[in-house]
Amino acid sequence: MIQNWLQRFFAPTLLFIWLRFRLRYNQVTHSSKLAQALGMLGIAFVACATLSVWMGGLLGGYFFTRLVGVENHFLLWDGLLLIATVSWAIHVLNEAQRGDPITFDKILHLPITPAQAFVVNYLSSLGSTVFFMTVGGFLGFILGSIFVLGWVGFLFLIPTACFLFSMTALTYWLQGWLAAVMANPRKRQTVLVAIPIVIIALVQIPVQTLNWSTDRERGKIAQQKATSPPAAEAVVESKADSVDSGVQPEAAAENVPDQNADAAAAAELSPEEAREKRKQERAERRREELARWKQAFTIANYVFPPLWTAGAVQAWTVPGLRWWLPLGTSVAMVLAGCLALRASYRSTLQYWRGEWDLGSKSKRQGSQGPVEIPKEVLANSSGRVPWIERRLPWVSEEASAVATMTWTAMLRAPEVKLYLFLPLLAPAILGMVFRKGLSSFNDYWKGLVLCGFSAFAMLVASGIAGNMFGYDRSGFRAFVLSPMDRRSLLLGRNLAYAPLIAVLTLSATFVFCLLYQVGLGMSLLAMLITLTMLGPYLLVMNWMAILTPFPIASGSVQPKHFDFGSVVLNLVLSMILPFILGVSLLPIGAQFLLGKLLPTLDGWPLGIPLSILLFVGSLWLHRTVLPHQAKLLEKREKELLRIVTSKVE
Amino acid sequence: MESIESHHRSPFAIETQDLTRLFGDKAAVNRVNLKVDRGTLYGFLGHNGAGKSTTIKMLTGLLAPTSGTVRVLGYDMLDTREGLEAKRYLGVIPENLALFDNLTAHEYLMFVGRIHRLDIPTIKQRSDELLELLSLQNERKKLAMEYSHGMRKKLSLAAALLPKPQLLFLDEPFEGVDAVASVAIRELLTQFVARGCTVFITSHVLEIVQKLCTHVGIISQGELVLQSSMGEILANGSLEDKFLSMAGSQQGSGRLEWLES
Ligand SMILES: Nc1ncnc2c1ncn2[C@@H]1O[C@H](COP(=O)(O)OP(=O)(O)OP(=O)(O)O)[C@@H](O)[C@H]1O
Ligand SMILES: [Mg+2]
Repeated sequence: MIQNWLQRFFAPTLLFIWLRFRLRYNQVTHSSKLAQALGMLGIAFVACATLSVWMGGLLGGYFFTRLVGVENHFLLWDGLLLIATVSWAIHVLNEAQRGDPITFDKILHLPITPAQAFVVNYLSSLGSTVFFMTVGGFLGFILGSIFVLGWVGFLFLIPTACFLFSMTALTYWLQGWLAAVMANPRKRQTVLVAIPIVIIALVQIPVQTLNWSTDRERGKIAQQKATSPPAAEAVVESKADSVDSGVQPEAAAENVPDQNADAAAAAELSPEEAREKRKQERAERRREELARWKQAFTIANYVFPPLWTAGAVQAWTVPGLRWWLPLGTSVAMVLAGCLALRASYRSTLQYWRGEWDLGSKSKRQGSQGPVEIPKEVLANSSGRVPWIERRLPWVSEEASAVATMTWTAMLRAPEVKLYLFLPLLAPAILGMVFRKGLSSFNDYWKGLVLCGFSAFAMLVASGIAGNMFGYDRSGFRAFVLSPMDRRSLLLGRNLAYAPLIAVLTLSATFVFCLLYQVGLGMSLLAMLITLTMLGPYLLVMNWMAILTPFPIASGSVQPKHFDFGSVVLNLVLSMILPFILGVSLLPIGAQFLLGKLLPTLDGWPLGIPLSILLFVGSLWLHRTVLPHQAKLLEKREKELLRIVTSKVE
Repeated sequence: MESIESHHRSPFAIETQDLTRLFGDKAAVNRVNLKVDRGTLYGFLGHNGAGKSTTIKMLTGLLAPTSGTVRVLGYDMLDTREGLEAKRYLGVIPENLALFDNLTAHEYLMFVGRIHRLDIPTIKQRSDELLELLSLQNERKKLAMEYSHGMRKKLSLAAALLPKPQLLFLDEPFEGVDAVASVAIRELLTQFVARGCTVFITSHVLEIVQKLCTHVGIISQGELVLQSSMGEILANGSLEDKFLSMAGSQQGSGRLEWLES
């Protein structure tokens, strides 16, 4: 029996672990010495990061627990769990799509179930910096709290492990599901629309909750003020508190003008008494605050599964709670993780076997007989000239061909579309979180923030634009084989990205301007600046694409393997990018300065002519530098071809 | 494009001198001196890993040689400017093709045609005819990544022929292609050569090479071991005999006892 099990499950698992190890090992040993050295540095970094997080956890677990007291220890856990969940979510989002080290299509014809390969894939998905740091942090924290709480701390290991397992398993399932859905063209569109909405909604929940709780707090303060004249310190204190807890500061800031009057009222008491009273009040307020958080989290620890581990800690450290509850939630978490992994395994299997589409009825009907496509439909499905045949004004035929072809191919790849929408997500979320803060800024700040958002969006989009040849894969061979002037190739590529990025950033800028009532002059200026950024941005993207290409697997936006030299160079280019884009902010500064020096000119949109000048300058710059980049591309194209068509694993 | 003849003095379509490519210490192609006359159908043969694809890559500018010179249609392929000019007259099926996953057949041909500065009606007409000839006309709305292996090969051939090249480099064009299309392609290549153009082709199917090619080169372990006309080879036996004697020296006995018991 045991021998049977060993043969059926254990041996293949070992085999797959060996395979995984061997793939990685060969990848490392077949790369250059520099890459190996940098790889070791990377490992050293992860080790250091893990160790320091562990230390931080240890000290935090010891000192903070002593600070807040045993009965409030679980609140620290709530914080930790939230941080862990959020960083893991960001990590997963960042991966966007799961890259399985052992793909099923290479093993499905073998006489074994791919379950073991799946398990190995899942386990290797854990091999990320975020996960190591999370585990390190938790272990340190538990150890630190053991010194305060005693042996009961060891028990925390159980729900923590269950939490980590269920969290990773659920996200693994989610990623696999996304990949499978993305493979289906009809569902693809839905997902693309749904993902940003879901993310925004998810961010909205905590934001709105916080808003709600501050509103309540404000109501309370107002009530207090009505009943008794509060001390000046109290208001300031509440302001400090709300800043601490990441809540909008202006909620409390509104009360600041009353401060002088309150201070006068307090002056009737002797200084010592006043100080004593303030101290007491502060302590009182802190107690209230703590009680409120405690109450909120006690409920959350029951209903919000990611916090169940904190619930378990609470049950074991606070008297009167049922001790068996943690065991129940731990089992539930493990069960959920197992179910998720099972579902994930099935959908992965379906995906690789191509069964994903079988459920849809129309497809089945369609496959009953060969579909006859009328000739006319094929020749021209609509009266319009298809994109791929369009001629762009002012540029060569070759550049037009490259631009229109890039458009067609790029917008068809779902992963690219998803990636291009991601840059808008972050400003949208930030904008919502700091909504109130933003509208209290003056126009100069708003303008700067808007341009910052545009620059940020461009920086994120550099994953696509800065690797424009990586996505061509074997198609890049067609470019190398082509007789076309390489300048046209670069120009065509830039002409494909420019409108896309311009439309994305300009529409975002426009919406922000409407939402936050930015003045017309500043709105125009911000848009002009965004346009000015495009020229230099695309130049840097060209350099990136020529100097630091990364091979990209079909259907993914993740580089298949890294050449560490390229990574470093890419990083350097990404870091200088903001400074280059920063030059286009000059008009805002000039307008501000002029307004300050000559107050009569204040409020006039003086930056606009300057910005138009800069825009023209950026076009000239692009035109001038492009031929040099083309020369560089000519020199490097064979090397580029080798990299973008290289296959790993 | 038609005026190309006046441009070239070289009688050779392809001419290399000591063409060498190292991968690490290993010479994939070692001091190869190829001479391919214009108007010939040149079969380039060799065992797996002999260096055929590597040679084609260097001839078409996809891979830089370690040393040696390459002249294609009289142009120096190692010079960027001249190489670019030469590419105007080349049609290539590279080893792993050169397709974009997310373009349909029609779009891909349109793109290739525009790159060669053909006008759009011409591209449409030619690509319709090419797809028809290769029986891909019903698949033109499919993305290249949805194509079968053979279909991708056919599409690559269509793209190679579309600009009406002077010289075709075909790396295993018959591999994975069905019998009907294979006959059509053979006819097409014969016609193509009759017009004075040149074809450089690698294949493992010796029957096809024997029927089709006018000249043969055999490469073994990266070295060119034979280069002659088909007539000369056939005078002393079949192509297969010649190939086995030149390239099959390290062949085993071809028997596995455990498989037979
Ligand atoms: N990118 C590469 N890196 C290292 N070695 C390579 C690379 N490409 C080819 N080689 C080696 O060069 C030699 C020749 O390969 P090539 O692809 O030219 O063979 P081939 O004659 O086309 O074989 P086949 O008939 O199998 O296509 C082989 O030994 C191969 O291992
Ligand atoms: Mg080959």
